[in-house]
Amino acid sequence: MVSEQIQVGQLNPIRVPRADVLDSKLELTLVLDLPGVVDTGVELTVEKQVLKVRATPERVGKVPDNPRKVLLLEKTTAIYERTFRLQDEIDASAISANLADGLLTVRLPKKTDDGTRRISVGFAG
Amino acid sequence: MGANVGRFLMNAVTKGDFASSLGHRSDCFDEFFAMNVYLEDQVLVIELNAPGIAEDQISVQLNKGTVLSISGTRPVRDEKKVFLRKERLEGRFERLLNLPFPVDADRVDARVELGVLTVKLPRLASSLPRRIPVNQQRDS
Repeated sequence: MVSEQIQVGQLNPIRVPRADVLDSKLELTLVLDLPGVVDTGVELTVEKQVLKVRATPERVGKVPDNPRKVLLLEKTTAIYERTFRLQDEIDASAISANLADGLLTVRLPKKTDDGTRRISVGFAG
Repeated sequence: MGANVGRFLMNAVTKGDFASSLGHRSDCFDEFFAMNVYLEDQVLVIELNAPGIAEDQISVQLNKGTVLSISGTRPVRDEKKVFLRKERLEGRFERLLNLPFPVDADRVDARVELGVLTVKLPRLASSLPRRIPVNQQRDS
């Protein structure tokens, strides 16, 4: 008989991160709350005008070093996932994203009227 | 399983409507300010989700040694942009916690990393349970 090892914490629920959508003339900006996530833990994919964000917080799958007792548990080992359908006006090939302090900012530039792509220049400082 | 969690449609700006969600379950949101509290040896460890909040925006206060207050402000975006959808909570927040034992205020460590605040509160040494020796009185 084969025994099966099911580990504690093996299942991770999917949680929808809260998102703000801001609109300016040139682009839409998506801001998502992703606490506990490092930039290597974020997966951003675009396929057929559908944007998918998937992020794994650092603590997922990791056992703490010291033994500890749980007194209150509101945060779970959830994986963040959300999809957005992009309207035609969005230039999917020019999407960029930045993660800092648990906030993911995704910039969705709009196509310009004559179809050329607008490239925004960022200044440091 | 889970394929339809969190889908919503984003309407075009020109239509002027806000994005409406189809089958969007708001109870799947991860709570802003969700908190976990652990006990590691005699140290209380608090982990609080606080994305987008800088260290100088958070205040950790100990009242009467056993009530912990974590408060702060998440700045409201004041850019010249229009919100098509607003879900993230902004502004002032506070969480109160009744600690199970008095802690040593001088040795509290609080730091923010990846949008998570971690506060470590060591137990006050004098509040540790200790055994009091019972002496036998003898008549000399």
